[in-house]
Amino acid sequence: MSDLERLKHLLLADERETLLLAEQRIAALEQANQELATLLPSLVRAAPQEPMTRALASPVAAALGNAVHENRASIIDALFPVIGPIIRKAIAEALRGLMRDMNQVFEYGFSPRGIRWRIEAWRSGVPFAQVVLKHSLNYRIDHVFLIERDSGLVLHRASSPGLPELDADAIAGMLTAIGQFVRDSVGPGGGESLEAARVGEHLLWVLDGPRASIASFIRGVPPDTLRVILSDRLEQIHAQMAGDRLQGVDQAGALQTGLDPLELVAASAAMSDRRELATSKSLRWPVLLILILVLAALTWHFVRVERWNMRVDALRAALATHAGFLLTDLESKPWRSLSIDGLLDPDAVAVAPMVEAADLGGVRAQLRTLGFVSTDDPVLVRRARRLLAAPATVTLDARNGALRVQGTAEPAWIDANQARAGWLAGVRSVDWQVRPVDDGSARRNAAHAELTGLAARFEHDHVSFAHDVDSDAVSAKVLDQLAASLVRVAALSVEFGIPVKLGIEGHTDSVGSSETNRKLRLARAVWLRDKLRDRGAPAGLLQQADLGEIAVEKDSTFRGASLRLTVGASGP
Amino acid sequence: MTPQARKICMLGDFGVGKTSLVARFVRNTFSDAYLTTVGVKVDSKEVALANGQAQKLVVWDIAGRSALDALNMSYLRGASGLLLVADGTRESTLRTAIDLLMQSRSLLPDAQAVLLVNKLDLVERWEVAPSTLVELRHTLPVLETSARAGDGVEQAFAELAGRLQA
Repeated sequence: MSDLERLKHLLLADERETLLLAEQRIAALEQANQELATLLPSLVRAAPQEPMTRALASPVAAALGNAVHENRASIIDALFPVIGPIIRKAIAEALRGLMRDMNQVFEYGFSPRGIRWRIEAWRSGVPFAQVVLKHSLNYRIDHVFLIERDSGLVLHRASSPGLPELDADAIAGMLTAIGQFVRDSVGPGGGESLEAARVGEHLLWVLDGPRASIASFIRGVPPDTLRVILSDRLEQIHAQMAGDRLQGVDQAGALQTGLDPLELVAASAAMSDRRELATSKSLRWPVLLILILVLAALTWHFVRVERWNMRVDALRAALATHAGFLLTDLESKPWRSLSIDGLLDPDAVAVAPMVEAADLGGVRAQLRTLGFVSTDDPVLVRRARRLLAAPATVTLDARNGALRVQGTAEPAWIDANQARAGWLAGVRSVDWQVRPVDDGSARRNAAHAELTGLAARFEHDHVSFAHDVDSDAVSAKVLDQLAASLVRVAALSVEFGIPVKLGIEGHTDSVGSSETNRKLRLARAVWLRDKLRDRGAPAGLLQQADLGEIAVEKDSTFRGASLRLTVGASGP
Repeated sequence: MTPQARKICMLGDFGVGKTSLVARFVRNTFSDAYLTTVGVKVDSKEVALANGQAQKLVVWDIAGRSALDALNMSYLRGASGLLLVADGTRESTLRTAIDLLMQSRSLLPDAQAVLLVNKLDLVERWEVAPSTLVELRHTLPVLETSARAGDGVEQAFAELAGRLQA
């Protein structure tokens, strides 16, 4: 050893020893670290479970979260076989609940019984679900078994009071065996399970958990909330099993199952009430709004249809009373179409204008008519007027087929149509009261003839004189007749415009001088004029009369006065 | 107080008398008519033990098979005891019972097992040699039973119940 080495040894001996120990310690730690990887699994298994679980909870959770972020695909691949059945089961359960709810809605919502219950709920202010519960959900749970899933042994059982004793172990065992058989037979992956069965009047519900199952024998129709309650209970039981480290049936008595049948029914009813209350609050206004809208739509529809029907009825009544039209069919689709079929007499008033005038809101009615012969009185009158070509002076009227013709007409028309009137279609009898046309000529002719007759009479009616100007007694009577005749002559002449000329003549015998006789004849004519004036003969006529003398015939003996009337032509 | 129940399974070949043994044990009846068990039939009965206590047995009478399939294996889950049944008149059923025991051990390593050699009433026609039974008794309890006469049935179930209690 050199001096230097010796010196180093003296100076650094303690440090070298410490360094050596440190190197040995590091080597031992490295060795331990290398061995830790192989020893760790056995150390974890050997460690007390509770502290180990607590110690690993946080890093495992963090590692799992980190793995989800960084290696998501692997996590998805690992969880997919588990998540798939869970999702399918959840969806199936939701759909089953939806179908059940829909069935209940249809059953309770639209049936007479459902409407009656709704009225009762509305009237009493009680939720509809409670009313339905009162009336229909009179179910009861007879037995509830909590069954260990592997062995089929009964962990807990509860029955309603008053039921006969039964072999719960055998029943639970058989249920388990059947469930296993169903799982093995139906579900290819073993994930399916028996959930419900009907045994006589009992409905069997089975809810499976990882370690235990609940089997319920129910009489009646349970609500879906009961299944929810049972699921909750099963979850609570599994939570106790995990927490208490329940190992088998020996510790089953310590479980707080909450599976008393009466408690389950009460809990289910309470949940139904809460659910109904929540849904009814949220759905009340929309439902009311929809109801109001539906009612308004229905009212509007009915009013609209009623308006249409009123208009169609009015048109139908008008068509029924329309003379010469016979309604055979009327098809109506409110505010869409109107079809009218009927028979129409050609002489009747047209129907189309009346149909078009009807207020049908833009609907154009289709009118189809066929011809026929009507016996309606107005049509009869129109037909008679058309066929008889009656002049305006002739009026036609009909009543119950009896045709009445009256007025004035040309004789030729009367002769041609009086007989034809009875042959008209629909005419039962004819009351013919048509006079020939009167234009005055006939009466004028008659007046002319009468005046001529009076003129002839004047030639015979003379007034005779016993003395120069004294008439005899007989002549007084003649004077009266002459005066009356002149009154008639004046009346006829004025009325019919027939010109007349009156002459008053005096007559003498041939005795005496001609001058004397001429004066005497004039005096006798004046006398007669005056006498007639006195007896009321028309003064005008007498004023215009010619006072003349008649030449005395040889050997004439007549002494007197007479009238001579000259009548003009009768025509205008 | 209701005694704690234990699940036991009857295993054995076809026609060895499993269902008849259960009927004799549970209902004390016997029928000559042979009815094949379909799947499984579960019964239960309490057994009085020698110590004065009672043990309730839930007996799963599984359909006779020479080998256990997946379904039968699922029936075995949770069982505490096995009753292996063989027909003394058919030696092959004894081998089947042993095979079934071996198969079930993978699922039930700790289950108590008792072997019943049935049809003791036909002992003159037995194929199973007494020496064979002596050898078997070294590994598991073996009882000779007759479901028809009822011989050894109660004792067999009581033996298993006692072992479950122990």
